[in-house]
Amino acid sequence: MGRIKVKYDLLLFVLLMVILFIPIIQEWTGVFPVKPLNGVFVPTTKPELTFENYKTNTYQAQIDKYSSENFGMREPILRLYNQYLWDVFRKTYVSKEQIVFGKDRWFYEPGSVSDHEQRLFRYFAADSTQMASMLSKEAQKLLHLQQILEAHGVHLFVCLVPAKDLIYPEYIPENHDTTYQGTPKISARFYNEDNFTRLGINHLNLEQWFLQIKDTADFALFPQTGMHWSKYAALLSADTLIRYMEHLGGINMKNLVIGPREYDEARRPDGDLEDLLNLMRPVRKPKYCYADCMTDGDPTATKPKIIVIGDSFWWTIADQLPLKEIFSRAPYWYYNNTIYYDDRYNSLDELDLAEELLSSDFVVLSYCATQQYRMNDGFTQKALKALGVKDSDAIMDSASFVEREIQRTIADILASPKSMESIREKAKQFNKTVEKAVRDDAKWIVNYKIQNGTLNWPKHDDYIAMDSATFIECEIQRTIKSLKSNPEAMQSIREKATKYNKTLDKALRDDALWVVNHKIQQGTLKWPVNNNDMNPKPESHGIQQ
Amino acid sequence: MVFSSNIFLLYFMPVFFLVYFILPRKVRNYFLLLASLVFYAWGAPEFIIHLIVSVIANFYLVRWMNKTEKPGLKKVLCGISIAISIGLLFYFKYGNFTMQNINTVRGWFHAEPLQWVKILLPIGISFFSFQSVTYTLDTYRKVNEPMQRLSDYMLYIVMFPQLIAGPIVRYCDIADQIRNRESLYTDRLHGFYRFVIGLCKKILIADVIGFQVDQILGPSNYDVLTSAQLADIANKIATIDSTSAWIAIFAFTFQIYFDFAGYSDMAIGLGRMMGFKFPENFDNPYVSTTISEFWRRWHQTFSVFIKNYLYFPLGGSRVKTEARKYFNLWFCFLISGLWHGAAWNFVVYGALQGIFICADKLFLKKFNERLGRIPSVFFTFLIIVLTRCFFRIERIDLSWLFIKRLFAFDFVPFHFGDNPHLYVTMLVAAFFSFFTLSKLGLKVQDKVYFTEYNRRQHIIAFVVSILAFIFCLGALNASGFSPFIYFRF
Repeated sequence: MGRIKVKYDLLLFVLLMVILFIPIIQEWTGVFPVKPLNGVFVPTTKPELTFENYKTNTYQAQIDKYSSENFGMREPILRLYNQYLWDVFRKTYVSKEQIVFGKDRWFYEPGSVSDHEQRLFRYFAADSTQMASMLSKEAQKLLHLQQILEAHGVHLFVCLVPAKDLIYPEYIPENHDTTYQGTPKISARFYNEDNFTRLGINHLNLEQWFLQIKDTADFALFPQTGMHWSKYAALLSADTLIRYMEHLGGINMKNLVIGPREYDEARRPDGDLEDLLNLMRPVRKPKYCYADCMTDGDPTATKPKIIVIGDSFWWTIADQLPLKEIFSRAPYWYYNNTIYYDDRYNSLDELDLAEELLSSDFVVLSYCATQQYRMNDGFTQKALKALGVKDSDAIMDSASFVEREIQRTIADILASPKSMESIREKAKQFNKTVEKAVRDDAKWIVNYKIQNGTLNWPKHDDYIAMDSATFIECEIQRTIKSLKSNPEAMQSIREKATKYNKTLDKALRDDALWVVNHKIQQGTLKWPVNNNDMNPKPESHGIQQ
Repeated sequence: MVFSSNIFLLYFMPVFFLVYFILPRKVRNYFLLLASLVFYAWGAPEFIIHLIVSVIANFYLVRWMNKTEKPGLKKVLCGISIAISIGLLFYFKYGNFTMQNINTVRGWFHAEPLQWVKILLPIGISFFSFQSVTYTLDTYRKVNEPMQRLSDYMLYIVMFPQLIAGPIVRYCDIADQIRNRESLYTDRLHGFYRFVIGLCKKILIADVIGFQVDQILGPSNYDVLTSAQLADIANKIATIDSTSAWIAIFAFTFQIYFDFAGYSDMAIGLGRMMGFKFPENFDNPYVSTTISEFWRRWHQTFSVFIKNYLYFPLGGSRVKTEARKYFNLWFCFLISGLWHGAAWNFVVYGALQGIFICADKLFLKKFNERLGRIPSVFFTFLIIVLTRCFFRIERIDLSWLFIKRLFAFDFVPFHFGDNPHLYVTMLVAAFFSFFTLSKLGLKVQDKVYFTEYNRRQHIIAFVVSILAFIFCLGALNASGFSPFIYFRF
């Protein structure tokens, strides 16, 4: 009996030793297949053993950290412990900077929640005033870039990608972070939307579209445990995006043909936040909607060249779309840093930015709300510089410029006793305050200068890359495109052409000239930021005729 | 190197035991010695030479002391040997503290502070210094013959299971085992089970609680903090509400027990795997009905050391006056307080323990007896908890401020959901701390720790130990792994 017991103990002891050696064997050989851990971290490099770093304990500390990242069977061991923490305590070691656990097991990216509470700007600016100023400046630069590109037939537009907090605010935990009580607050998403609309920057607001379909959509717009839009919602967004390009460029592109829906467990990147928890089994098992995507194969369709500069949301579109069928080129400049989907380049440093931009048909800036604080990752600035604008920081929009002119004129009036006497009389006559009368007078003078073409737009070389004539020509071309896409207007123009014995093209241009001229007269034309004589002028334009 | 590290658990321990058990018995001690030196040199490379030199010096001094027939020389050599051990301990552990205090006093007289390069504390010095002392004194008292081989003596001092944090193994307890011991397979398995129990205590209870205690009270080692960090801690303590304060100090009381007892379990377990029978170090101290009983159950090997090598030489209880007896008791605890750390808060802690021990002898024990067992256990536990304030907070003014916050009665509502991991772990800690108040608890403890297992029990213990070991590895590494989503980059 005793001998059997000893044998039995020996067996267990041998088994124990084998088990203790499994991590080492796995580390050296990788013999057991294990599911790798999700997420990205900066790996610790294997330290070099030297007497100096051994003596100072640096080697020991580093090798311990290195081994904690590389020991065999680490993956299942960590998953097991994470599962215990999650099941028992609803806790995880994934940092608070990575996930906000919402109500009913909805997960949010913390930036998204911060932006919902309009306090994300704190990471980018000292206060909301500074943030507003930065966003405003970026919008002015963007407008300018849009105008320059437009003059070369390249359409730039911003795609405002939805963030989860706006579409599903109801699951955001209450008082998730009450540390910031400061006011006023600001959110880039609303500020940019207003700015883009005011300045006439092309933009497609998918957030609004998502909000509209939220209650009626029979598929998830966002996965409950994911950060990015669902794959299916991204697919539908891509369809909208293509239609917008068709509208903006006045072209016909291939239509997307979205296959029958298929419901399945989360496929990457749906549930990407949950992946970070590295659990053994899923937090939830909802069925998400998926579909294959093809095009209608229209042989007459245009295949534009596009460039997408944006954040990770674009991956979900790019991975699903038959990009090569729809676009003749669709490189993705991820955070304006690394280039994907381009056989020619890997990095922005390798290419000629101006050439690349000017040889494209569309430049798409695709950022979600939380990433809009990144100011397009410096793309606007770089692009303006590449296109000849030496000091893009000096750019201001026409409204700002006009306001500055008004202020200057007010100062001139105030400095002139004669003018002031006249204005006081006017104020009395029209029952206004003197201040109001001064401003009205200044406004009238500036407007008069604009209408007569005598306003001295700043002449600084760096200030603007486009002269007013080029700008007006752009406007004319833009209007022609707009008229072309309007069947009723085209019918009217055809009739006029017949009536006045003009070619259709001449009639079209004349009509566009009239529209632009009318806008100038009415003061509704969105003026360029400035003019100078750097760029070649068109031979003639309608206003002078 | 510490036991609760990847390097030890994943590499050192498996490789050590594989080689150790493959080697012939004759050379196992040499290998154990080599491994122990590697173990120590890994964590304290700059002190390994000090350690080796002091061990060699002590070995030959004691041998000389043992050989000499001259009583005077014997005494001198004994004194030199002890002076080396205690001198090194004093220099490394109390040098900074002494200089700080000298400079404080000089400051009172507007004298320039003395320049002093801060000394780093070698890990484990308190333990191996005491073991050296026991070797010298046990040999001097003829309790045991000195070791014949330097390697054996060095092994006794630097043996890695008990080198860093005890238990303090007296020479007389282990002298025979160094040359003659047997490591049965069942001992190896039991040793591993015991090791895993200790690992669980350390990683799953003490570390979890400790992390939260640090969140509430700030880091415990004030020596390495900047003045801004210290100011932050002072501010934290000054503004802490009573609920958080009580949670923090109860949590710390459990943390320190499970941390220390866990380490002792690991040491005893590792020793048993090699055939050593190290003395037990903790015997459910929180079920004590008096402070005296608590100190018989808490860090037992240290208490035995203090009793044998300090209290008895002072005269113990066989002294002329009652006052002297109480002074001896109090003084021993004062010294033991200082042994825990070189700071005034530890002196206060020791002094307080001494006062309570004297109070026990005078009236507290009788009072507790009248209270009954369970109430006296909780009353004693409360005293321990309160005195722990001086142990955890390394500045007396802040300790006192913290005690005031405990009794400020500005309680805020307690929400279990705020930190379920901490509260559940504290409940588990409380359960195991007081488990042996019941007969069933004692029976279970006896079964788990001290009884041979039959085949079925071995299988259960084996599976549970392996799972717990894996779990501990997960806990050890999960906290450091916090990946970013950084999509596809």
